[in-house]
Amino acid sequence: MPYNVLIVDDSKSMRQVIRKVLGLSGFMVGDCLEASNGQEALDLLENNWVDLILSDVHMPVMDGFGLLRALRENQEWHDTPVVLITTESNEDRIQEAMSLGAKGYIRKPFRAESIRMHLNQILGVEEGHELPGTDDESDF
Amino acid sequence: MNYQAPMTKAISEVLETMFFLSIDFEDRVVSGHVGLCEARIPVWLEGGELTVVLSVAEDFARMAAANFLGVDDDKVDESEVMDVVREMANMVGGGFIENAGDHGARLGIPTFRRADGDISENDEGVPFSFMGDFAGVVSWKMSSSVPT
Repeated sequence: MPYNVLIVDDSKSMRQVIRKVLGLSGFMVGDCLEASNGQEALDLLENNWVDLILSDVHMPVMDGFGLLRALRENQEWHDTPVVLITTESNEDRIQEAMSLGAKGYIRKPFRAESIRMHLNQILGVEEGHELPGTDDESDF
Repeated sequence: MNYQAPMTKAISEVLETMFFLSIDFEDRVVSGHVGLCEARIPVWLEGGELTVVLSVAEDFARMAAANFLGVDDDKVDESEVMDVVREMANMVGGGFIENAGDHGARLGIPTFRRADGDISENDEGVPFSFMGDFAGVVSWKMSSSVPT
């Protein structure tokens, strides 16, 4: 089943890298949308359906916490899995993100393998069911 | 606190994992004139605000951007170089906090500027080279202000 994914990061380059990593990770990615902050993400969600949101934390306009709060208050989106991909290592802040509904977090810098493992776990994909050619240890 | 060791580890980790660049750390910056891409990021520690400055040579910045994006050097445009250097500083700052063990620290949003100037010896920093050439330096400055 292809997953529609929304990548939220204020770095266009990082969005490109995450998109590429997703492709190499063996996920069936359907539509892959991009937003540069939480508010842009919410605007996109008004007219698009996504199955998974991958979001940075530190962003201008609306950060990852603002996005999590807004999604939690929205009937349509409050169950959509959100995974934070971030440099944040403050344990209190990570706990706060989890309490706001984040399903996981991946710390930057990351390896493709760690993204695959996290997403498999969150989306309930059994290990070994990925597409062929994705079981290497390469970074990207 | 000695920031040298956690910063050195962060630089190495970020450049190897995300940019596929294996660098050498130098004892000091060799003075010279070089075009620099500079990203600054505030780090709020328990004792105040630390400004971390990542300055990388123009050629090194372009190569890092190309590696990061998985394209040839000549396919990288200026906005991508700027964006990638900012993101590099963001990850170095995050890694530094993690390595320093300050789990209450907070990271700000990086800013970028292009600087064409003289490099001078800098004791408060971590200079590094790539293939024998100056590649960059990460320096820091503590201010007395605390976050509000």
